[in-house]
Amino acid sequence: MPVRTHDPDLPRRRYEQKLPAAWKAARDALAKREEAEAVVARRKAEADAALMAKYGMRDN
Amino acid sequence: MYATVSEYRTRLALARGLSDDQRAKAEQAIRQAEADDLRAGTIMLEGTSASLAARDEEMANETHLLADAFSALTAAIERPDTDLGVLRDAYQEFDSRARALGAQITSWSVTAARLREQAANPAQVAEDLRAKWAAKSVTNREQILHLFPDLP
Repeated sequence: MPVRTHDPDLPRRRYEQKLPAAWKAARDALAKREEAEAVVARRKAEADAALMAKYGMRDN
Repeated sequence: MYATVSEYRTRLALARGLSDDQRAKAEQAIRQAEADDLRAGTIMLEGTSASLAARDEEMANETHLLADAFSALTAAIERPDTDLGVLRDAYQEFDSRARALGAQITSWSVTAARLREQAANPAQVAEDLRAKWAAKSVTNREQILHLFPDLP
């Protein structure tokens, strides 16, 4: 039976050529966003602690 | 070619003392199983070429869609006003899909190579079907025992 001329490596090649860059970009962007949000949270906590120390308030 | 099936058919008919009706049902079950396999094998060979290409295209397209989805997700993640929790969940979903697609493509490349080889060797496929029919007698025996549970 004749087999239609076709590129048998098409799925793998597309997967390896196209997906990794987009996948990594999303992962990197997520890591960057998480890091930025963690910095904001830390600074807020530090500011709160400084205010409480300055005015003698306690964190309930 | 049907040595195992014929043997069992004879054993059913003679050693078990089946009624004509029971024997007819048993033989019908055997014929049906053989016919199903032959039909499946024929369809597989006829459709192999086209289905291989179609499946390849399908997975290549899925890769495109997923890569585009990642790009859209990246753009959303980079906007500071979008909810990080929602984006994290979306990333996990796409990440799972990308991993599954990778596994699927790896598995498919093995299957596709085997199917291409089969399509190029129809005589070998016929031989494999004959071997499968011989093994099918086990299934037939189970079917027949199910049909006639009072058999020892």
